[in-house]
Amino acid sequence: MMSDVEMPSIVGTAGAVPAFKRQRTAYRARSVPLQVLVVVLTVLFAGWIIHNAANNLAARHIASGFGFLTDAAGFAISEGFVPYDAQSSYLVAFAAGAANTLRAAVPAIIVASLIGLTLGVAQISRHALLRLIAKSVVDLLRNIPLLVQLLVWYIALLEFLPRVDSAYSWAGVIYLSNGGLAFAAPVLDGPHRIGLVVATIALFVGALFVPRHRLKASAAAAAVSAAIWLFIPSQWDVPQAGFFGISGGASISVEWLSLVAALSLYSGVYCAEIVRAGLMAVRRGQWEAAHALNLTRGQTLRKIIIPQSLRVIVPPYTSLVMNTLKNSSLAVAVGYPDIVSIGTTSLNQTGQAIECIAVIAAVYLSLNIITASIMGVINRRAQLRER
Amino acid sequence: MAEMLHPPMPMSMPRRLWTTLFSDAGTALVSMLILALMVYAGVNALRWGVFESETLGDVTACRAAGGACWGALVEKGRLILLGRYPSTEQWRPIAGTLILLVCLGISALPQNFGRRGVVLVAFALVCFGVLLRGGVFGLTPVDTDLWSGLPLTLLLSVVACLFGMPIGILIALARRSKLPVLRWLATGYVELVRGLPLITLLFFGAFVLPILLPPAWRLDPMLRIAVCVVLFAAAYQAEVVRAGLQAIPAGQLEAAHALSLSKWQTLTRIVLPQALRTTIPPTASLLIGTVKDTSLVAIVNVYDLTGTLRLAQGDAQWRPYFPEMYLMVSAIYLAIGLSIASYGRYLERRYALK
Amino acid sequence: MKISTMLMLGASALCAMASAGTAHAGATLDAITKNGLVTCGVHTGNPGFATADSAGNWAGFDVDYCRALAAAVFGDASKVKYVPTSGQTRLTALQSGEIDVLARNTTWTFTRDTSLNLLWAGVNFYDGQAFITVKKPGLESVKQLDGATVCVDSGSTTEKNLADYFKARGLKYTAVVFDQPEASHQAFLNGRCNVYTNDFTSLASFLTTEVTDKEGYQILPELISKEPLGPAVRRGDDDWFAIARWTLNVMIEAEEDGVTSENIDSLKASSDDPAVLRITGAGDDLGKFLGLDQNWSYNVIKQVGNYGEVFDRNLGSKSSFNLARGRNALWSEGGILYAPPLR
Repeated sequence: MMSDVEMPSIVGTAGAVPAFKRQRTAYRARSVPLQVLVVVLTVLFAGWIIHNAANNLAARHIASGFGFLTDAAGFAISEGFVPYDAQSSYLVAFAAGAANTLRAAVPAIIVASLIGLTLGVAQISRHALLRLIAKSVVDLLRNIPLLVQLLVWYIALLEFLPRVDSAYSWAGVIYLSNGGLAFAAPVLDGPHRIGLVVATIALFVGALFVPRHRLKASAAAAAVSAAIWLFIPSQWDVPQAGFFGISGGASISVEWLSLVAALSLYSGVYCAEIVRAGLMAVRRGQWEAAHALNLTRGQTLRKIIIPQSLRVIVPPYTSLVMNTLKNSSLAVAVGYPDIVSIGTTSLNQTGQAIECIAVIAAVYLSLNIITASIMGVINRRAQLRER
Repeated sequence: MAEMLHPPMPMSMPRRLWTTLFSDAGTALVSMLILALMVYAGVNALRWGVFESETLGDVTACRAAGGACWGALVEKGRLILLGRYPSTEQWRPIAGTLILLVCLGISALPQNFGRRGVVLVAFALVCFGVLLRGGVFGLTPVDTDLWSGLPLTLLLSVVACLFGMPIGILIALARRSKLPVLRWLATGYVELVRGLPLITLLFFGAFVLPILLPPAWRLDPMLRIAVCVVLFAAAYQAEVVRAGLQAIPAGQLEAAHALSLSKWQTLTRIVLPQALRTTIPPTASLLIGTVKDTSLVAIVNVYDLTGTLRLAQGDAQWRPYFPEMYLMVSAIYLAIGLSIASYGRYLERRYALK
Repeated sequence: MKISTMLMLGASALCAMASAGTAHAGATLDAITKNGLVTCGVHTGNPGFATADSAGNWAGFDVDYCRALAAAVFGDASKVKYVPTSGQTRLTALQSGEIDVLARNTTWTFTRDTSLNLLWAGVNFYDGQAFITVKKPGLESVKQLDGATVCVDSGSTTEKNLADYFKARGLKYTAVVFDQPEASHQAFLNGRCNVYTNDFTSLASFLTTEVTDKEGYQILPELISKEPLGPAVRRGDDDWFAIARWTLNVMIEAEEDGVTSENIDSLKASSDDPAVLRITGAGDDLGKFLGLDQNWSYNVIKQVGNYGEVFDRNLGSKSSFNLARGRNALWSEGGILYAPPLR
C-alpha cells in the first residue's frame, strides 16, 4: 500500500521538482539549525566545565597555568639521556620523561619487528611443528594483558638474576645482576662524542642509499661503526664492584630491561599477525611463478613475497608502532621514569592535575603525529607504483 | 604427469603426519629438533608442576618441595579471585559473577540477539550491582572500593562493551554524517582518545574529572574509572564500525531510497546489519583488547584481577611462588580471550554471505 | 521554534546544574550529619596505622582516630566509612570532598597547609625519615650511602627530602621510584636497591611484618627530616576543624589525666578533679561549644581509648611492633606530646 502512495512522488511529473531534490532542500534547511544547536550545546558544556574547574581550583587554592614548569622539580630521575638533577626545572623533567619513553619504545619497536617477522614467516612455514609453535606463542601472548606480562618479567628478573654483590661478570667488562646491566663505556669529551655520533649516523644514512644491496650495506655500516666505537676511544670507563654493588661504566636498569622485553614480545606477536596477513595477501600465483623460475623458498620470500606484502603490512604496522609507544606508558608500574611516571610525580608535587595530564597528552599526541608522518613516507615508498 | 590427472587418495592421519614432518632430510632434522625440545620442556613442566609439586597451603612444605607450590593458590586464591571483598560475604560476588556469566551466555545465542539479549544482560548487571553493593533485602552494604578481583574485571569488561558499543556506533554515524559540525566533533574525539594511552585517561578520571565536575556531585571513584574505560572503548569501537559503514556500497542506500524507506529504517534495516556483519572479526579482537585493558585500572589503585595479583605479591612469605599465581591469572585471561575469539569465529561463520 | 525552545531548555538545565555545585561554609559537618557517617581517608594497608582484615574490618592507629571522630559526633565509633587512599590520591581526595578527614600518616608541611587549602588538626605522631639497609660490616651511617641505589615511594615528601639531604652532603645516589609501597618493598627485598627510605615507623612496621630474615637488616640511626604526622581536613568548615582538633587533643589530655577506657565510668561517678570530670562529661558542658553532645569526650575515651591506649594497642607494647613511645611520650614523661588544656 505504502509504495502505491509514494510511487508518484518518486517518479515525479515533468516540470515538478523531483521528490529527492525537494527532500534534500528540506534536509539542508533543517541541518543548519541542528548544527547551530550542537555548537551551542558544545560551547555551553565547555563553559560549564570551565566554570566548575575555575570554582574548584579557587576553592582548593590550586594554582593554574604552566608557570610551575620553570620551578625546580626537586625529585630524582634514575636514568635517561637528558642531563637532569633534582635542581632542574619541571620542564627539563618532562623532557627527560619524554626521552625515556622513546628510549624504551624505539628499541622495543625494533625488536618487536624482528620477532614479528620471524614468527610471521614461521606461521606459514612448511614445518607443521614450527607452525604449531609459532601459532601457540602468538595465541598465548596476545591473550594475556601486557601489564601482567610486564609484572612477570620484572619480578622474574628481580628473583632469578643474582643480586648485585654476586653479579654475573663477563671479563670484568660487563656485569649482569638484578640491578640491571652494567658495561664499559668509552670516555669521550663533547666534540669527540658528537663526531662519533655524526659519523655513525652518516654511515647508516649512506648505507640506505646504496642501490640494491641496502641490507648488506647496512650490515657493513653497523660493523664499521661498531669498530669505530670500540677502537677509537683511548680511555674506557669500566664498571667496578664497589661497596654498593657495581659503580662506573654505563648501565641499563632492570626496569628498562623488563619493559623492553615485555613490550617487544607483546608487540612482536601482533606484528607476527600483521606479517602473516601480509604474506597471505600475496597471490598464490606469485609463489608458483617464483617456483617456476627455480628460486629457492628463501629467495622467493625475500625477493618476491615480502616486497609485495609490504604495502599490505605498512598501514597496520603504523598503528602497531603507535600502540607500542602508547603501551610504554605501563612503565609506571615497574618504576621506570617515562613521561607518565614523571607526569604523575609532578602532579603529586604540584597538585596541578589538569596541566600535568595535559603535558602528558601533548607529548603522546606529538609523538603520534611524528610517527604518522615518518610512516607516511615509508608507506608511499611501499605502495605499488604502476607505470 | 599422468598421476596429476587423478585426485590424490586421502591419506590416513599418521601417514599424513609422517609425510609433513619427515618429507625430506631438512624437514626431518628440524622436526626432530623441535620434537626433542618439546619433549624436554614437557618433561620438565611435568616434573615442576606435578611430580615435585606441593599442594599443601604451607610455606615450609613448599620450601621443601622442589617443584611448584600449588599451595600458594590454596592460600592466596581467594585473595586473587575475590580480592578485598569481605570474606564473610563472599557468596555475593560469586553469585553475582555466576548470574552475569549465565546471562551473557544466554544472550550470546543468536536467537536472543536484539532487545531480549540486551534486557537480559541489563538484568544481570542490576542483579550483580544489588548483590555486591548490598543495602537492600537485608544485605550488608559493601562499598565499591572493596569490589575486586575477577568479578570486577568481568563487570568493567561487560560495562565497557555494553555501553561502549552503542556510543561507538553513534560516534561512527556522526563521523560519516553530512553535517560538518557533527563530523568534526566526532573525528576530534576519536582521534584524541585513540592518540592517548588508556593510563592517561584513567589518571584523568582519577585526578582531573573531580575538578571539572561540581563539588557536590562526588562521583564514586569506581564510577569515574568505569566511565573512562567506556569512553576509551567507544572511540575504538567507532573506528571499527566506521570501517564497516564504509564497506557498504552506495547502491544499497540508493536502493533503500528507491523503496522510500525512512532514514531510520535505512539505518536500522539496511546499513547497520550489513556493517555489523563485516565488523565481527575486528569487534571480537576489540572485545579481547577491552578485557585486557581493564587490567590497567590496577595502576590507579582499583583492584581488578591484576590488582589483586599485585596485592597477593605483597606477602613476602609467598612471594617466591609468584609463577604459580601468574599462571593462574594468565590462565583466566587466556580462557576469556580464547572463548571470545572462538565465539567471534562462530558468528562470522553463521553470518557469512552464502 | 522547536529548536530555540530546546536551546533554552538545555541552557537553563546546564545553569541549574552549575549553580547546584556551589559550596557554603559548614558544608562538611552538614554532610557528615546528613549521611550519619564520617568519611575517613586511610592508608590502603600500612600495618599498625591502617589495615583491613579479610572480613573488611579496619584497625590501626589512624583508624582509631577516625573511630574517635565518629564517637565524638555520633556517640558511636562504628559510624565510619573508610576510603583507602594511595600516596598519590590522598590529598586530592580530601580537596575534592571525597573524604571528610584524612588520617593517613600525612606530614604537615608549609605548602600543603597553605597552598593546598588544607588544615592540620594537630600532630598525632612525631616521625622522621629513616633508611633501612641490609646489614654490612662497617655500614653505620646514612653519610656512608654514597653511590647507593635507593628505593622510594612516589608522591611523598620522602622523595624531596632524599634529594635535598644527599645534595647538601655531596652524596650521589640512584633513586628507583615506585607508585605503590608494595612494589618498593618487593624491589628492596629482592636486592634491587641497597636502601629503602621512608618514615621510621613505616620502616619499623615493614621490618616487623614483611621481612622474614629480620637479623639481616638494619635501620640506620639518623632521621634526616622532621615528619610531624597528623590528621588533616579541608578548609572552609571551622566547626568541623574544631571537632577534628579537639578530638585529638582530648585523647592526649585524657592520658595526661589518667583517664582510660577502663576507668572512665568509675571516674565519672567518683572523681573530684574538675579536669577529669570535664573529660568524662560529668563536669562543665564542653560539647555545646562544638555543637556536640555533652558526652562527646566520654564517648571518645570509652569507645576508643586515650592516646596511650591507642598507641600501645596498635604500635606499642601490646602490638607486634613494640615501638617505644620515644618523642611521642607525653611532655611530662620526656616526650614532646603536649595538648592545649581542655577548659
